[in-house]
Amino acid sequence: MRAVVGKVLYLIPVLFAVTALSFMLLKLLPGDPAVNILGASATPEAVETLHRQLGLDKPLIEQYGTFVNNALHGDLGRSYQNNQPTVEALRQRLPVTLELLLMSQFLALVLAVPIAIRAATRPDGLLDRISTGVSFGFLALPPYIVGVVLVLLFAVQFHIFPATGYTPLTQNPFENVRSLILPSVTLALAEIATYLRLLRADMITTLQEDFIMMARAKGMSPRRILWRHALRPSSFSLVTVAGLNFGRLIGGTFIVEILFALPGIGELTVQSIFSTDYLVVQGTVLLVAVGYVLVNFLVDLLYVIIDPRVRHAASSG
Amino acid sequence: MFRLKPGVGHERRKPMSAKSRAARICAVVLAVVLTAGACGDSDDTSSTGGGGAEVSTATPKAGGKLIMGVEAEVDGFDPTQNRMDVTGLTYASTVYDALGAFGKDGKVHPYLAESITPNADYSEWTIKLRPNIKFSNGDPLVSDDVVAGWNAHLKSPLTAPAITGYLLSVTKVDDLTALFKMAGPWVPFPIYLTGQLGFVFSHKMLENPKDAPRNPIGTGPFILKEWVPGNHMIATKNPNYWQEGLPYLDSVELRPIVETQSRLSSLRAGTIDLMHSSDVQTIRDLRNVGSIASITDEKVAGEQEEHFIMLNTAKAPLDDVRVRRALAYATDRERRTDTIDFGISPDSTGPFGNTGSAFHGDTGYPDFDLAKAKALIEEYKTEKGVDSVSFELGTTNTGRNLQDMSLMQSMWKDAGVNVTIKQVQQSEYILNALNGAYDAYDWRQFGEPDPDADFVWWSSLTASPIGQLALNFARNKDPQIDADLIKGRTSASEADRKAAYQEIAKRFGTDLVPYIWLNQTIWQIAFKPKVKGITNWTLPNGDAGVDHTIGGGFLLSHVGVN
Repeated sequence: MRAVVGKVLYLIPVLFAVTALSFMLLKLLPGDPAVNILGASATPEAVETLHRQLGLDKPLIEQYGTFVNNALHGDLGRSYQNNQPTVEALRQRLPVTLELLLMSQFLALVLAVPIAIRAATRPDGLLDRISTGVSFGFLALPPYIVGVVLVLLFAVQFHIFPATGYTPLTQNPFENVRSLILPSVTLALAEIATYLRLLRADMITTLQEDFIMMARAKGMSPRRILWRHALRPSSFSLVTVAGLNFGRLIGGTFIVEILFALPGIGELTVQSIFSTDYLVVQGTVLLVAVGYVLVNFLVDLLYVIIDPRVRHAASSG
Repeated sequence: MFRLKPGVGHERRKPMSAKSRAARICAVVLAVVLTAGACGDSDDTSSTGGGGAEVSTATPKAGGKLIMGVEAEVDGFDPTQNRMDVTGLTYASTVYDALGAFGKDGKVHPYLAESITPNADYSEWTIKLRPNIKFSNGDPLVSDDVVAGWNAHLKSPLTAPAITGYLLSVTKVDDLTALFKMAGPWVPFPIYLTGQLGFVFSHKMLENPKDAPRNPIGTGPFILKEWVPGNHMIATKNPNYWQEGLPYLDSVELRPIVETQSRLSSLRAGTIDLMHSSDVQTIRDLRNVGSIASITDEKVAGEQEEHFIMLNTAKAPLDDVRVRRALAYATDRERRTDTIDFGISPDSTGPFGNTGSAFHGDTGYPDFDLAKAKALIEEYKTEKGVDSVSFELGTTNTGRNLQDMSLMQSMWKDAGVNVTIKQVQQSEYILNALNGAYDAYDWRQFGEPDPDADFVWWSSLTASPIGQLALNFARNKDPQIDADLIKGRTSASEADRKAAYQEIAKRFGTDLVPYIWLNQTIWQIAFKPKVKGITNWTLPNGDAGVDHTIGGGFLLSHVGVN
């Protein structure tokens, strides 16, 4: 419990630092939101008036102070572009990105884990070599190339999945899954390769441990040895990387969401940066930072479940 | 396109090792993927002989839903607060009707207005509304709404620049009539009744400006049901719509798909029914897709949007007309169009394009002549006592723009001009243009239904010095152009107007050269053959409506799916 409280307290300076830094960096961006809103027909008076209305004429520290104060009260401001409350925009878009992240991680793990286990049992065997070759191929392919090929094949040619767009889960669960398959696969392919290589290497090491030999000597079935005894101690790196990958995957969603026209956090961030919509970008940065810290916090908790030594150390400490 | 070479794979077979077997499996999988991708529309193409599907002129049937992919998201539905570019006009025309609309004759016809009548010298315009029309909230449409809306426009920082100084007042005459008083004759004023300024909205929207962008109250063919910015906008049929039998569709959904290729793939995959685009690569790609029909605004009446290099005439060395003229001579437009635009974009030698516009004429704009370009640059260098002519050429942050400007850089280098390319983020780009903080900018503009709408971009009145915001971005000042702009605005004679604007184009082309013309932009609307009513629709008075308004917009009220 003490560890949990410590982690939560640790969140506060992290979030403060992230929001302060991103706020300052955003102000360094070239361009002016007022000119963006008014377009090419902006007059000096109109720009000045709009600066006043948006609070952009105030000192930077005051602007940041106002942002933090409002954020603590659950108000992240409104978009300069369409006047939509940032909280509402995040609420609308978060489920899309979350679903995309979860589905891609699920696909990556469901495919990578059994292949890695199988490949580890016969290093340099046919499956191992195929999976190694294919996974390096996936790693080398950037998502925007994979995405385009998948769309050409499964949307344009065979009409199996939609090329773009998102159907909410509440509206139609089947269409929801269909709309996210291609983006999820696009994101998952590179992850499959990483997880596969990582788990395979750890499994090979684990399978050479004495307790595995003991299990074999006792006549335990290979399946039971692999899944019950070898997998758990081999998955520390996998779990750690899966947690760290969360941040990288969010970066991936920026591209994938644009490519598949998914209304998620990534797409919102990119569009808001282009339109210098400071408050919305600030909101997305805050959300991503909280998400990243929380996921890694969950990973730390997962260690306790996976490894009895961590559990015992925590309880005795 | 990627195609497999014939003959590959016919070599004598050897016994396969595990390694080569694995490699072959991978190769087969990859080949299947790539072949399928490459042959994506082979059967479609054969059905039309590679020319794309025919545009149907059948009357649409009632019912159904249409999904349109648009190139950007809009910032709202309030005509006084939100920017209405091509996409914005498409969104807005679902929920609002404009007072006027363009006919096939290129002229403005009454639409929501019953009549649009000038006084003898065109200094007053009387607009009478159609009776018994209701807003989506049930309120009757009355002249108070028009008066309130236009008075809000006169105060709007966004829309006022186009009318301030020339439109003096808008007042109510009776419940259905409003009077527009001008500072002087304003003959082409009706063109302003067809777009953003012409949309009629309930005066109640002005009572709550914060919510107005998200809660439109109009008389349009559809009523806004749901708008999730960045995802979709759904509008459903207005059951009390004033035009009998319209709209055909039960609902429309507009989806912003920013990435051009994704929009195209969505259309080909059937995820959307219709899209617009100004990307030449899309135009080229769709030429051979038989399952998709398309039209462009290449030949439509009006002023086409031009692609050009805008020169800052207030800054050395581009303040010297010899340098500007040398750049025009040094630009091989044909080579550029072939290299960058796949030979698709029409040539342009003036602000009105070389196709379609009634205002186009011989502009005297220089053709490619490297020797003349070199001579002018040498003359400038000798007179100014400088060793080189150099400046910065700006463009926005896309790979394609960089490619385009790199070609310009190499062409101008041949004439002895050193150019440094600078890529700039979009909003900074506009700000720099406004402030005059640039030398030369890659630019697209002037796609207006009538040249009068260019008044603010070309007038000396809006050409402030560098450091001050100016709508005349090139800061080109010329009394002759000012006089012609006034003539174009005030003359009732079509011949005189034409002569005035042709003279402007000639001044640009021969004497002043503030713009290096590159090509005419083409807007395309591409759609599945089931979509009807794109080209054959009629105005309320029975006249034919324009095939395709400039810039990729059209009225969804007249479109249906069969």
